Amino acid sequence: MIAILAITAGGLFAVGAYLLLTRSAVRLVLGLALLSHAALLSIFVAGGLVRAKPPLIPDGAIAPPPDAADAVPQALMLTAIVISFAITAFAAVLVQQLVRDAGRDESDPPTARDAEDRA
Amino acid sequence: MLWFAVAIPFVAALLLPWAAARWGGALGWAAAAAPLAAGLALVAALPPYDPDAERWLPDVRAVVPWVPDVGIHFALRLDGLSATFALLIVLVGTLVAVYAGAYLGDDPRRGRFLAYLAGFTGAMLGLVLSDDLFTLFVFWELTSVTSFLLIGFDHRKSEARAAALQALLVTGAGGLALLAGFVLLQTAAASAGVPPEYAGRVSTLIGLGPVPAPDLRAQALYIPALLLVLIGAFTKSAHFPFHFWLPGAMAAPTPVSALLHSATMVKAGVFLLARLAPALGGTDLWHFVVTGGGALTMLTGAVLAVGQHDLKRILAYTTVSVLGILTMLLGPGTDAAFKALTTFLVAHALYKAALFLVAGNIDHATGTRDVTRLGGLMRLLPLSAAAGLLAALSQAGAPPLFGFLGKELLYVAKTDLESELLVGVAVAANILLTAMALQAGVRPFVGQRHETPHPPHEAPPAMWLGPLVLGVLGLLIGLLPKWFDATLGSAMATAVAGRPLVLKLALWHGLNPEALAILGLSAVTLLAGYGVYRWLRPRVRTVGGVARRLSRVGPEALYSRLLDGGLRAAPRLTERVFAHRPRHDLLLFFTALVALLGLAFLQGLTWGGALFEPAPALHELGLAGLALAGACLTAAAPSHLVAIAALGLTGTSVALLFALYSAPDLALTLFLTETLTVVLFVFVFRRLPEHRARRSRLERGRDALVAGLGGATLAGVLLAAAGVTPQPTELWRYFAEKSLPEALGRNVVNVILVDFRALDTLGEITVLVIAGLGVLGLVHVRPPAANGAGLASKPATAARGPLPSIILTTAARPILLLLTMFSIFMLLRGHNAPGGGFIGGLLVAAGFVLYMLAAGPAAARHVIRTSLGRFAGLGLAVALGSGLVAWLLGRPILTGLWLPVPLPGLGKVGTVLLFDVGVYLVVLGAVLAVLLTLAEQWSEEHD
Repeated sequence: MIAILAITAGGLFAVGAYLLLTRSAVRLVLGLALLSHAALLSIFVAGGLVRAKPPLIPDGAIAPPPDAADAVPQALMLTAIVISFAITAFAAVLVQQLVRDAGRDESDPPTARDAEDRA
Repeated sequence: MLWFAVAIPFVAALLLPWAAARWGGALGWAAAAAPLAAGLALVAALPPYDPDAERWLPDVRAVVPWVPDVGIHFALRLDGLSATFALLIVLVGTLVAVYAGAYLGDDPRRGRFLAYLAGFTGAMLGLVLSDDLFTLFVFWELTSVTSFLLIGFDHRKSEARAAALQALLVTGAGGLALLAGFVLLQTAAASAGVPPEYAGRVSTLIGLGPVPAPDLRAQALYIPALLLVLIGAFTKSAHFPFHFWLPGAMAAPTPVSALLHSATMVKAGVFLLARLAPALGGTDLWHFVVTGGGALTMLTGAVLAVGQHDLKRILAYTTVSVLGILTMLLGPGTDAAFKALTTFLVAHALYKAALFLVAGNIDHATGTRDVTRLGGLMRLLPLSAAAGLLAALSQAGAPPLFGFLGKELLYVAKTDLESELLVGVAVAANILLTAMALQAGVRPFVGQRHETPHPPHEAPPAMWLGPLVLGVLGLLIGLLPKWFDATLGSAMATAVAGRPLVLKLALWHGLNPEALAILGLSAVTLLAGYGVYRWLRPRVRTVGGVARRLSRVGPEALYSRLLDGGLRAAPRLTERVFAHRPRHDLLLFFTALVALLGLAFLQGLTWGGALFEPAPALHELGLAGLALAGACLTAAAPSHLVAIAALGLTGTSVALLFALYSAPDLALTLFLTETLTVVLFVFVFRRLPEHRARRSRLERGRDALVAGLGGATLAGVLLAAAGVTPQPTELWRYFAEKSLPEALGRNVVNVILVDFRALDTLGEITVLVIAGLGVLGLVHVRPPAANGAGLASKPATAARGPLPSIILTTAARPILLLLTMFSIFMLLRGHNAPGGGFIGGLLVAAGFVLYMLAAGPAAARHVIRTSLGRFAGLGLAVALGSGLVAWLLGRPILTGLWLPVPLPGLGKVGTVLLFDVGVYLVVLGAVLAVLLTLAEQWSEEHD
């Protein structure tokens, strides 16, 4: 399963990167969101995969089962999820304002020909 | 006591701008109190003098650890060399402060000026008292910075700005070389067997530390270290080929020239070489570079001085020349050379500062500093004239002044070496220095009066006091050399030589051949100097033209070319690398990423083990496929709305994978943020224009290739890393063991977030608040015109819900209530089961968003009743406050503290629960504020 998820992370990264390289500013933000999913999956895979053994301490025990999933990457990722939500929101609104000001969805700076088109 | 002395001027620098508004005229006198007090503190710190060792014993030292792990300390030491320099600094510093108070009159910026001067005095004191290479470096750079501020004080003049920048760049570049040299010295000392604690300690390097001195000269690093230190010293002390910044620095107000650019700062390079001479000197390389560099500088300065007609520039070039002489005296390492250095250095500081101040008085009185337009001022400025004549005669080396003693010793040191070349060079330079002394210090006062811009008048007492004190001091020490040689002179010569030296100065050495030969040389110098002066008098401007043409091909031209070239090349390079097109920059970034990581694979990185553990189940494969399919659909979607929905598909699939692989907290969090992200994107992007401009097929192919390679690289790295980390890790075992016994929590993820790593979490919720503020700022703070002409004309009616559905509207309220209660439940149980502040906060935010979709943002705001910003702010305060409880009780901040008895219904309660409540409030407030604001914007614009 490590291989499957590693390839999934790579695929998400590839599509996210491709979107970052397009000229559409809106797609750029969507690409950013995909990249953050790819990053989450990467940390998750690197932290080791364990099925159905969450890092919880059962009643009566004083420590999680020895083969439970590692809580450290999970704790890192949890805040990462919330932060990437905040950053994505900020990027989205920034792009929204830029696109509305420019009247077009375009991440390249205006060229002389664009100026003629608009005139 | 040493720290006290260094700190006083800095404290004064902080107080002076404030005092300027209150004390007016007396400000200069008040500013003078700081260096004076520092000087008294130093004198009080001096232990009894030991005449056998020619030192004060025991050594006065002060050490405070700074970065002890790498052997860096704030260390100070008072010895003959540092005491002489420090007393010179406070003497000239005090007199210059008094002078500057009157010089600036009621200029509104005089408080700032005096504060810079005081700051410089503190930095310079720190520099000469440092006993640690890195302490010295910090103060060294601080003097460069204050010098920059003072040279550029008339910042409205472009000439002053350029000169300040030039001085900063030249001395700053030298400072970098010096730092590298110091690092190498410390490394060399450590590899020679000095314990790290002492490897950077100057006193240890020169053999006065608690451990034996290392033989640095035998180390492989000696040559590079010495050369780097020499670059630092030569730039600071304006040595050829870096001499050009010093005449430029004359753009500074005159008190600055007197204090920084003649008496103290420019001598820092000489000081440094003198300081390190016992450790680094004595080799052929040292002798060659130091003596040669000094001699070259001496000649350059003396020759260039001849063509100048501006008083201050004459003095600046003679200063360059004298600095060269001082360095030259450090080269040979003979007793005579060290004695000459000591005497010449102090004599020069006294007379040159006086000459600068007198030049300031002449400028002040007449409005010009051009020697060809000055003359006959003796009767009009009698006190300044007296000071100027005394100082000029001292520079000329006329008996019975201090400068005469210095020059005699200089000639003794040179004849000692039995090198005719050096004697010849020294005599030639001194002839020119004598002529220049007469030119700058005598010519304005004698001869015929000229028309000047102002009718001349004597300066106020504060302005003639300083030069007169310095001039008279030069006379007194000349007559009574015991005042100097028995107190500071021998101690300084001993410190520089590294062996006991007795300095005995005398005007008359009796009738023996050597003494008479030296006296003869002195007489020749004086007469020839007078001759040059007479010859030059009518020809200054002609000679000046030649000198200016010479300097056009010198190193200053190289400096200008380098600076201009750098300024032109930098934007071109930036243009090339960053083309103002984000996607091009990103292409570069991704390509570099692929290339660097790909290189690692080419070098033999191999796959890790257990790639198919645990064996994938069919539904898991399906989820991975859905995630990828969602991503591809996002890229290929025909409209924003489809792309947003597809993105949600990817996020949800990933969340489900988290749920399957033992991460319930992550799954819950990601579900909620994905839901909110979809809503947010719809509000933000739904009505934006679709993208029209297409990339060419070639561009798309290139982008797809780079992106695909990037993805393959990431997958490859993950595959290579699989199984590399031993499971379970050390860190995880630690948290697993300590979670319940020490943090009383069964959900280890939550325990890490709110207890073990709570400081990180505090930082992260702060980021959340800042991002939220950023969004609000972007939406609210916009000029009205920018909102789009077509949209602004629509009447802004009361916000109506975007989804008017009766079922949803009716159900939304109870659902909101349920979700709120559920979120509180999740918050409270989070320490022991999946849940916690993040999940709780996101849940209640999701509930409100649903209600807002049904009833409109205005209704949602009505339900909340208070400002959401308050929620977020309160949350931050609660989280921080929960951490401060431990701090107030004397424990490390954010330590979890627990009530001894469980509360009914809540179980055991501690500060970490309070912290999680803070997280909950921050998430709720920030997320909801953003979404509500966006919804309001949407409904305003789309009615």
